Amino acid sequence: MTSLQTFAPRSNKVSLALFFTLLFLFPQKTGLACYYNIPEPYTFNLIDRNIIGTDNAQDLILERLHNKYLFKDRERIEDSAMNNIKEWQKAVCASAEEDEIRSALYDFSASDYEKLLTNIKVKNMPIPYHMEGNYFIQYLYKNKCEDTVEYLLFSKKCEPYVIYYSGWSNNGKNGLQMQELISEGLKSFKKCKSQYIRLRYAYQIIRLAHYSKNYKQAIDLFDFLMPKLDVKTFDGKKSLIYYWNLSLKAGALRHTRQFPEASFLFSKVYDNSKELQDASLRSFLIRSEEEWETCMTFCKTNDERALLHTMRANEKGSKALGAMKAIYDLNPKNKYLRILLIKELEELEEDLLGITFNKTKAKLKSRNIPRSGIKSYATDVRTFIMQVIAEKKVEDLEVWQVAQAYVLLLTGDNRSASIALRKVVNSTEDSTLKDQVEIFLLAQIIDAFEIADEQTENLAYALIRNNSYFNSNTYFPRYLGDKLRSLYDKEGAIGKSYLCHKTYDDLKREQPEDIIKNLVQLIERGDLNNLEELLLAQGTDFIMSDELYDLLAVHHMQEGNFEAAMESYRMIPRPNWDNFGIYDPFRATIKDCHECPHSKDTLDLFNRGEFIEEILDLQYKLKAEEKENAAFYLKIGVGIYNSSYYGHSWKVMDYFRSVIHWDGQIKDSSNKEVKNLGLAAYYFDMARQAANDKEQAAKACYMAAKCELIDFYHSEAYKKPECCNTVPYIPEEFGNYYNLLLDQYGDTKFYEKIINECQFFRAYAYR
Amino acid sequence: MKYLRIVLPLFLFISFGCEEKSKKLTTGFYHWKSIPQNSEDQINYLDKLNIDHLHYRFFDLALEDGTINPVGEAKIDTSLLKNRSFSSCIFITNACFLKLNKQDTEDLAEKVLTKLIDRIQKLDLKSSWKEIQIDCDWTENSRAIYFHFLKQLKAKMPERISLSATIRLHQIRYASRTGIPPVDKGTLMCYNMGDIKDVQEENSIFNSEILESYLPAGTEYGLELDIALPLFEWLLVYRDGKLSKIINETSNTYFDSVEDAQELVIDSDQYFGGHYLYKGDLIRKEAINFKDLEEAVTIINNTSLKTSKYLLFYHLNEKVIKKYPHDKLADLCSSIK
Repeated sequence: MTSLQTFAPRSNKVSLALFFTLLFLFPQKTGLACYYNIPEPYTFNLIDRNIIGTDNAQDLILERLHNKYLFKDRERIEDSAMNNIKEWQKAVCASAEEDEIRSALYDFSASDYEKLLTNIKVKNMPIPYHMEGNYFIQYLYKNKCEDTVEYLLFSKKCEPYVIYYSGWSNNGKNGLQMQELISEGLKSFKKCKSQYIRLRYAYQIIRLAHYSKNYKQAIDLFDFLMPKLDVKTFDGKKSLIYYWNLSLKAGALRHTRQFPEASFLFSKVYDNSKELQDASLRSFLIRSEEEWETCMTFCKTNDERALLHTMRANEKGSKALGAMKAIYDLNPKNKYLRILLIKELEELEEDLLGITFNKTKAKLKSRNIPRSGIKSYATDVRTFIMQVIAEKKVEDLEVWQVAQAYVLLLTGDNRSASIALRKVVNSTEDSTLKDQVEIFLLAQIIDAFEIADEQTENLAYALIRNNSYFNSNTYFPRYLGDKLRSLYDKEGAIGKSYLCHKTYDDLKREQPEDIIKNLVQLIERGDLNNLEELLLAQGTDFIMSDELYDLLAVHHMQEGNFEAAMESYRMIPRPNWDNFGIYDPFRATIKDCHECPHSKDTLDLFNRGEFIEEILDLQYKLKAEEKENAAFYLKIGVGIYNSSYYGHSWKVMDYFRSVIHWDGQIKDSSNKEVKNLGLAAYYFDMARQAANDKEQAAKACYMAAKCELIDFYHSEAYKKPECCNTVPYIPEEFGNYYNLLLDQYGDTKFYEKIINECQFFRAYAYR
Repeated sequence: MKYLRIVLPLFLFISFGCEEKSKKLTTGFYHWKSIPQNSEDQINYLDKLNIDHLHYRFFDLALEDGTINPVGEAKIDTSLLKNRSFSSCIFITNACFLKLNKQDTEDLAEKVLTKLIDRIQKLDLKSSWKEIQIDCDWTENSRAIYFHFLKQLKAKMPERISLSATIRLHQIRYASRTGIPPVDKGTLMCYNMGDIKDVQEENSIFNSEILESYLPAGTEYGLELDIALPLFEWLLVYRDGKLSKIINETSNTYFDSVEDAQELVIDSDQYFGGHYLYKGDLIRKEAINFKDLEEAVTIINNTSLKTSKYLLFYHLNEKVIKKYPHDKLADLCSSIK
């Protein structure tokens, strides 16, 4: 490798920044996950939802809905359990740890609570043994919280009827027993003094009715019980159990096809209960204009009406502009207006950001990205945003100004976007928004690159080296890489284009001749700028030079052009030749073994450069020394054969070998293999003809037969045997040398040797 | 075939037979409603066609959070089964078989059968139960495990019950790769052959050219087959060129407002067919007519498939009864060679 002097010395800070940049841009050396390994197609996402506030950002739940099973089954259930635990903590025992409450709620059984209740009621009875270590239980015991323990006992009795059963089990739900529990719960509800525990009783009772599919009863129970309760509040918000109850009523209404009221209640749950947000949005169902109007009649405030518009528009792929306009008319300060704004921006971003140069744009198109006619819709969105900005009725005007600028960028008005973004970046004092604008400005700068000239390359390099936003955003490396790639492609700089999205390993695997030659030209041109050096360095402190000449030499060898291969190798300092491996390609074997160890005899060992030299030397001798011709022919043939896909020294002419490719039935353009044995076969045939003794001729004939057999495997005549251990079948036109061996060399020692060592040939000979 | 999975849980698969001189045919329908409606008209329709056997979907099996569970258990309208036998159909997603190993398949077969028998006993339908039909779009990768599952199921099933499997067109074309399932017979599903996601597609449910390309003259398959043809229709909603909704026939008002093969563009944000649609949304109605069915029968007649005695159709509801008179269906049944 050639030392890259321009990279050193540098400060540790810069080195670190560069390291992380390279980690994303050229990560193959590090072996870490990166842009090359991300699933395709991809889009770019630069929007930071937190510009509308962290709480509001969490209300953007569409992607959760798209992964509904994942979230339903894991995160939502955990959220629900955790919120429940926290409320127990606030309502009953603030000094208990969350884990202790969790254990009390979920680990102990009905009989545990029966014992605990008995022991609370009877003087001098201790806490049951295996509950005594739990502080929450100790608290209930010491304070004689009979109401609470009775409730926990009741909830445990309800548990078998309300927990999730997989469809395999006969869950044993018994309507009669559930009704008995409802009656028991109602009695306890009446008796219980704690308003908070009464609320929880109401939940258990309504849920039992709901789960026993008595939906009307569930609605009636809600309407009967809830007015009797003074619902406790925590931090100014009603208990989460209230919304759980409301959700049960909404569900029961939906089951009884009272969709408008059900949807109205679901909207209230959505607005107030984080853990039920996904479920309530999924359950919101309005099917007609009439139902919508009816649903609206339940609303008392404009914010409630705005919420219904949000619920209806909160769907991936929806055109939320109509809802945004309606909400704006109802209350320009409504939080859901900005939430829908971000939803629309994110969807426009997915369609439009960098779409002209996105490497995966063909794949995206097959997924209808960008959506047809989306630019026109984006313009409509921008018109509305401009109205909002002009009227100044919203609280977060700067967010709208940034949104307007971003839509300009997305719709291709780069210059106006830049002006608008710079205006905000200079005026805002909101650090999150300022960072967002800087990120959009960076995207705008990269998007504005028109040609990949020296100036652009220097600017790109400066961004990579010095821009903290570039280095902190995972999307920028591929955004810049794709942009540069598209510009390089236009200018025919195919080598640099390749290195914008592929690695040295890809070069070795694919061995694209035109790319390798273009990169060699780049090296030979010299006077590389910083970005070119960066591209050619592949995440190291050295630019690829030896590597490219080595690749070019390998290409020439595969073409059988050893003189050209030598020309390339001469560009690599001789001391570096061993860096590309040492092999023993001239060691002849009867059977091919790709994983067997190489010879330890140093006379047998050659690096690529020496191998090329040896071949050239042998070819020269062929011209000069007629007596030894057969030996020279054979040695060249063996060298070339062994350096092919089928030989033990296949690494001489290749870098990767895939076992699935052996018979050529599977085509894989991403991994070039050396399978053409025409040149080797020529040398073997020449060796056979020039041989002065039969043993040598038999060896050459056998090697030629191996080449012919491989030709057969690659021909259309070859059909994979259905099963194993079949007697070798070789059509006449591919069996010339095998037959020659049988006919003319059957009396040689070598023939005897191959009969003993090569099972395939033995089977063929005795077939 | 994601859309098929959306639709399948809603269906009741019913088949019936009609007499011909030498052959008895059975026609099958997907019933559109999840709760079967036992209308007198439908029973009369079945009676007129001398139906003695119905296909019912019982439940689906799908991967839920990494485990295979029954989902979408169907309600069974037993009144349709007076004097009729039935097949119990189970749809299983291919993903299930990509996840299983051989031991798991044996357990799965046991569980499926236990659940099915339990349900049939509760419905008091044991004596009229004749067949289990497994509906799975298996592939080359899932073939070994799926076939092992079928063998296990067959081994555990009561002897008097037969086992059938649905066969899709690609499984006929690539039979050497996907194999032939170890069942008593198959049902070839001649529908959903186009690309439903493609806004340019004329009719994703049925296209005689595509059918013929999958079933050229002389096509053979190593299993006796019932043939399934579509009678269902739907409205497809495309937003910005992308499939957005499938509106089933639940709302006849909307269906009647769109002609077969007609495309409508929504001119303002509004409710349509139970969904809130946006200006510019494109609606296409896909339906089947008798000419399509006749073409399908001609194509099948030109093959060398070993047809069984059943010709199955989708789906039975009030609309089908009006649109497809029983005598015309009977003629179609008799035209199968």
